[in-house]
Amino acid sequence: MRLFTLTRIVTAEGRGAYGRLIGMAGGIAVGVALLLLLLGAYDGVTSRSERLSWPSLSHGEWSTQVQNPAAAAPTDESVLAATNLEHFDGDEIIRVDIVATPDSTVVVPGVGRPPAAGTYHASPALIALIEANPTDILGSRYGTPVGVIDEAGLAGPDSLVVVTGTTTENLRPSIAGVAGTVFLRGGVWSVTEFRGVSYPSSNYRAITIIGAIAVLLPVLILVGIVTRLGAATRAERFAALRLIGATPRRVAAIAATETGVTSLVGALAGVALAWLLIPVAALVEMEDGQFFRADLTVPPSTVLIVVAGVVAGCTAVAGWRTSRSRIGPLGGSRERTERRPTALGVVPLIAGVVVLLGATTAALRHTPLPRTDQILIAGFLLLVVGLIAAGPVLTYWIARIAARRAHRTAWVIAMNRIQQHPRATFRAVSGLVAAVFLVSVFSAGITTVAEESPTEDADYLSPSILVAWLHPPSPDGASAAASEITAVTAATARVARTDGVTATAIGSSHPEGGAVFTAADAARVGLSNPHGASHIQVSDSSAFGDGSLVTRPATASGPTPGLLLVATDGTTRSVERARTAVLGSELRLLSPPMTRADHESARWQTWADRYANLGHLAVLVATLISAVSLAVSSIAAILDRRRVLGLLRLMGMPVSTVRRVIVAEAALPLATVFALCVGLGILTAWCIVAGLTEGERTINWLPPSYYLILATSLALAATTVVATFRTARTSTTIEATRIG
Amino acid sequence: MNTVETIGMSARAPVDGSAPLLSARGLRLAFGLTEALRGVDLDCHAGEIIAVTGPSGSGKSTLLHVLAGVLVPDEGTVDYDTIRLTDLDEAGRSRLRLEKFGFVFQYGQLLPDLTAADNVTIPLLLAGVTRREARRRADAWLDRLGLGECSRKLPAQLSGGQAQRVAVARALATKPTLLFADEPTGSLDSLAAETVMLALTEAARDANAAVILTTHDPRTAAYADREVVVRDGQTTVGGAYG
Repeated sequence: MRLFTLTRIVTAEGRGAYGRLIGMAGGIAVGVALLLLLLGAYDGVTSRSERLSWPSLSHGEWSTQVQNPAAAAPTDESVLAATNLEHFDGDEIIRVDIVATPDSTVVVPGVGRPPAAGTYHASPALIALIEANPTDILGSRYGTPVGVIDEAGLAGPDSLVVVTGTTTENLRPSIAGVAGTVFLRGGVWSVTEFRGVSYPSSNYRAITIIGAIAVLLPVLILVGIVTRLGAATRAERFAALRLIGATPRRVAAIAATETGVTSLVGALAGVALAWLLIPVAALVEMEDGQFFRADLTVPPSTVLIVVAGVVAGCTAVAGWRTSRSRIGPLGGSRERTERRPTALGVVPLIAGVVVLLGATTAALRHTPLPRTDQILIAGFLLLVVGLIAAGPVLTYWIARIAARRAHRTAWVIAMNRIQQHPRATFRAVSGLVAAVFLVSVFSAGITTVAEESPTEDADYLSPSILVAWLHPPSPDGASAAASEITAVTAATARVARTDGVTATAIGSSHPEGGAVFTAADAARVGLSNPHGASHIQVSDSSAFGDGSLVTRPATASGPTPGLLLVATDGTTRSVERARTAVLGSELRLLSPPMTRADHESARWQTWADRYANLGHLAVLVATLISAVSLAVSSIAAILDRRRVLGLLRLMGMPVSTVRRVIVAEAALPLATVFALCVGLGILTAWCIVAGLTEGERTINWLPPSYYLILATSLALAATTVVATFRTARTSTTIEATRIG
Repeated sequence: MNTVETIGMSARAPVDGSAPLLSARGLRLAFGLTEALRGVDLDCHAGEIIAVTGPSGSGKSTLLHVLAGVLVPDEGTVDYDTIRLTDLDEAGRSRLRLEKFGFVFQYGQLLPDLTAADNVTIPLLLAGVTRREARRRADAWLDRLGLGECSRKLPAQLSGGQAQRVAVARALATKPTLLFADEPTGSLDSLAAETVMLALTEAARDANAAVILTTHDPRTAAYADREVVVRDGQTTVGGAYG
């Protein structure tokens, strides 16, 4: 108890002392809040994957594939189900068609009993989409709405999922597809239980590690900085304590108690802050969309461990740091200079570059090292650590040169200060340095997807044409085939009358694969016919998905319809109206109709959309925290020298000189490593992309958003520095020159 | 040496026909309800060394700050040469302090990250002198004060007396006409205090700079031409010279 009283008297008396402790607690609160949110997100993605993956019907013994759906029938204990991936205006809709008996005991996640034929349950986001659009564009695809899918059946609040009840005759078999991070099996399945699996993807783990570094590194730096706040003033008080007989152990205990109590307050505030931030954090899209708030809530045991860990860590470090500083009875009056940084500090940086380039070079020669991916991540981590370690060395070298050439008072003061305190000076901007490096890696890395965006070219099928592969007719004789042809023709004619549809063309199945179109049909939908042949053949999926449209002359094939092309006027409404018309027709589809744009956007969204948000958020958080660190450091640097600077002002030094000192002390370390961070960030991105793909992929020019983020970071740093000017003015007045 | 003037009289210089370099009249300054200065008069002539003494809390430092234009009095005037200091704005007073005055303090007055020589160059750089010339002058002053070998040392590597002499060099480097020293020997032992005061007074006399110093140490006050005692915010006129 006496220790607490003594600590309160020694460290917490006075307005300045309270400000310092509040600053320290605030920094820890921010750190704890972000840590809890990160942990929540990690757990959230794991539980989300279970809810996301139930429509993928192939997990475990509770589902079996039905080889002949026409002959299958549901029972009270099992349903027939098929999962399809539909598209609407660039979004993916997971559609689960279920055939169930009226007394089915099978439970559909988020729905309960399976819907009756002709009715559907949809996710809230899909219901909103249906309500926002005319029925013939979207709503009529599914039948009559009877309910909403609740959170138990959805990955997140923005998930587009529909569970429709249907009949065996209308049950549409599906082909395999990828919805977000879930691989959907094709075919029809007999299901006794819908159950998802937990599968945080390896990509997610890698991104989480990088994201965690991006966010936690600046947080750790911030905590390190705030716990040093007012170190000079505190050292004087501790020295006074030592003078009147306190042992070094007692002083260390006081320091530890002060930090322990403050960090406890900060950690508890951080828990409250995290709780307040959950609704905001839930809006961030990651991998498969946004989170439910419950996904980000951390269990109380985790909260307890985090709070205890942070408090114990901060307390131990404070005690250790005070013991190590060996404050003597006269220790507070003289400032310690740092140990001069040596060239050894740049070794991790060089090692990181060597590791990255070595692994990449081996991969480019098609002789990749074992576990190239892990080596590249290790190289990346070495570079992050290396930049932080090399920063003080480089800053010291540059400051030394600059000090010799300095002519202005502010520059002389600042450069000499940096020479004596390169680590402390660099620490102030190290968070920003890490943020700039990480955003460079990330922004350069995702440029690799740019080359995959849909190409508008005569060699490609127009992105506004819907492509629908038709189910092969049942081999029930010529009369059945003829009636099926008639049905397809009639259905196609009805689709052709849909608003916005400009042409339709039916290609007949070719024995060697693909489909054959007459020259007239081909011309109507814009298929190229360079040789002027009477019929042309197009290949299978590659023609409408992965590559350019390749056509070749062909002879007339059999009459069996295999492929339907629906050309539209290109507007979103027309494309979606046509899609709904095709889906609602009697056509037996192998898979939902897609445009080439749907196909390709689904692929490149995986990288660009799913991770860009996370990366940009990490950078934003890291930058904001780093700006706070910079502000705290700049203010602390002034407060620690307030008496001397106050005396210089008393001697006639204008306050503008103090301001210039602040600017120079922030600008030099940042300028020293800024270009290095950008360069190494781009190099790292190239190494990772080229190294992992053995040179098949590379990076492209950085997008304007990257330069915007860089400019924002620098503007934020500048604003932060300017914000400290007031402190510079008010803390170096005549009052600062008084002793005690 | 000097003598102490009688209580109740103003601390004006003896009449010798020359105009005072610095002249203060009727200075009053209150901090809240506390009257730090209660009608102080003081004259200081060129080359004169005045010791302002008095008990702790009597207003010595406050008087020094008002005379130097650091604090503005509630009432009264301070004239430096032909300039009325109390009419100048903050920027004008700062410029005057930089160009005409020098300062020596008791504690923490050297920038800890700068070498002794660099510390001396700071006021010169502020005054617009080039770095090379500033270093030359700084080295010359340090040599003159017996600190030639310390010019590359940091303040933490200097003894208290050496640090104070560096401060004296810094104060005199801009060739001020008036030097203010606030307890310049307050943190030193008697030997170091003697060394510093000898250096200070000799250098000031060589430069024909006037000195106003505050001290509570009679041995330091003995280096002055005359002594002014401050008690309860009023000066008691000191005395005999030389």
